[in-house]
Amino acid sequence: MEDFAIRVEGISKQFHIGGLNTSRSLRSFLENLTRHSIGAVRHPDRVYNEQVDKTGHFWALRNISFTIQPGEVVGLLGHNGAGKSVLLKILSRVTLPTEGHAMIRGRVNSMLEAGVGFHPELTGRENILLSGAIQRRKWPYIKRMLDEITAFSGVETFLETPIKRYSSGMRIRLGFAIAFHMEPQILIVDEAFTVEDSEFGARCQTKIQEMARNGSTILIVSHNPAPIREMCSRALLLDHGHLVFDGAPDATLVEYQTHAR
Amino acid sequence: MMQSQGNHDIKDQMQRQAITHIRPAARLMPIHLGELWEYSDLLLLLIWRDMKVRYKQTIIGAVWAILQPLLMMGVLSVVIGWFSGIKTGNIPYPVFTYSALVPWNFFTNVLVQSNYTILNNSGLVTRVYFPRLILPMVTAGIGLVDLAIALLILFVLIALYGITLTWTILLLPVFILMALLTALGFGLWLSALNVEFRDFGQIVPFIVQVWFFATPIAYPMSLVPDALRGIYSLNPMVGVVEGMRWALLGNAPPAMDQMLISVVIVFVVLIGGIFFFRYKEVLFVDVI
Repeated sequence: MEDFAIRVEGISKQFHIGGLNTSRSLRSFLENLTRHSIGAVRHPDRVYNEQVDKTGHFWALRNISFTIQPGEVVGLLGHNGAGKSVLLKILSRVTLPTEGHAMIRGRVNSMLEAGVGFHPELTGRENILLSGAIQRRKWPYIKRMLDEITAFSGVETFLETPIKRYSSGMRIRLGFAIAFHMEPQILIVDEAFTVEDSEFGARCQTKIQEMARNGSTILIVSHNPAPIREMCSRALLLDHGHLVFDGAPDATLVEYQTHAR
Repeated sequence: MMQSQGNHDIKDQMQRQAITHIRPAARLMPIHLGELWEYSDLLLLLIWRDMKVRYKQTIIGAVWAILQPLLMMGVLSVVIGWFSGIKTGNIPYPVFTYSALVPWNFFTNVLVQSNYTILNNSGLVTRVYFPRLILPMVTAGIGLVDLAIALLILFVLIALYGITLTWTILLLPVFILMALLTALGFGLWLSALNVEFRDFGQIVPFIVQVWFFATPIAYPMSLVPDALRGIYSLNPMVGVVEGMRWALLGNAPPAMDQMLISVVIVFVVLIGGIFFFRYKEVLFVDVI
């Protein structure tokens, strides 16, 4: 059997300009229906680069292919709007691709944001249990990890306090602590090191390296060159929805600087 | 040594793991029942979460779940039972109407809440994978907890009015299940529709008010003119309400042909709803 953790074959993702992040109503639906029928182009003034095709579709990703071996730690680089987050969302199965095919072997734990699924009214302990279930972990496992998670996050004294009373830093630390203790086979992390607290950032980095040694496959998005260089064995560079470079972290970082826009 | 052991374990595990395929959306998305089962923990936790959060910062808390149908029963007993003098056979009007309000309130609460189930959980839907079908199920599950509480009060009322239960009480779970499937069926359609077309959130409370009068809650089935019976029985809540009354109060059994129509409609709405929801769910993240 061929060895891979993540295999991506020709993935593309298309968005309708103006259709993204706008709440639609029956009225706008009917309006668009009539507009389409008379052949008018939607938002013609918003055509701003080559990612937009003639029909007003925006390609956030175009024909992306790569394979990640089990146990690899791969960084994903790219400037704002390069398509990093969309790619992570597709691999996390939050959204589907428009074209292409991807295969994933193993349980994916993705952290597209620290503290996903936290409810402000619930206590730290309750939120840990809830997050564990969201990350597809059973009760006994989460209970066993509870002490380790709280110790890692440093919120021990606030375990019975509702999350809404936490500082944003505490919430982020707890979110990272949970994600890092799910024993992921594949871990997907977005913007991992925008952690303000540098001591905690270092602790996260150590933990990620430990997970990698234990065989987890890790895909990290970061704007920060240092962690990519220190942790990753390989880095991918996205630019305007295209995969433009795939190589050693140092080489990719050089390429990343030259792609500055 | 320990580390290489760990390394081996996770790699071994991975070799045994099934491969997850990620492909573009299809018109007909498959339903993975096994996966839904795997997420039953999350289903229960989300029900618990919403129950716990719902009565935060209220003074009487869960008493609201009891008060809501009781107040409605009081109003209906005075306005309809007393003023209009509707005859409900040998069953006292308050019990007669309350026994229908129990499944009815369940149904309408699920319907109204279903509009917001995806929007209220947008933080989850846009950031993590789980079978989205869980969310309408959570809404129905919360309704089921309220229904259980309301049912306890109903048994108190039955005892107070000295009504004797008969063997038909054994059929109660069947009609509760029917109420659940009806609510879930319509809830699936609404939860998927309201993400894209927020109009449904506005119109559903109105539809529910009209629907109330098209269901024998405040009046007995015998008042419905024969000419309207055909259209009337298209409403699956008729079967649920009549069935509940039969099971609990030993009322006249519901007409079998009517019951059959209700059951068929429930399953059409439910199965259609599941596939419609699966078809629409791929858009949630882009539309929210």
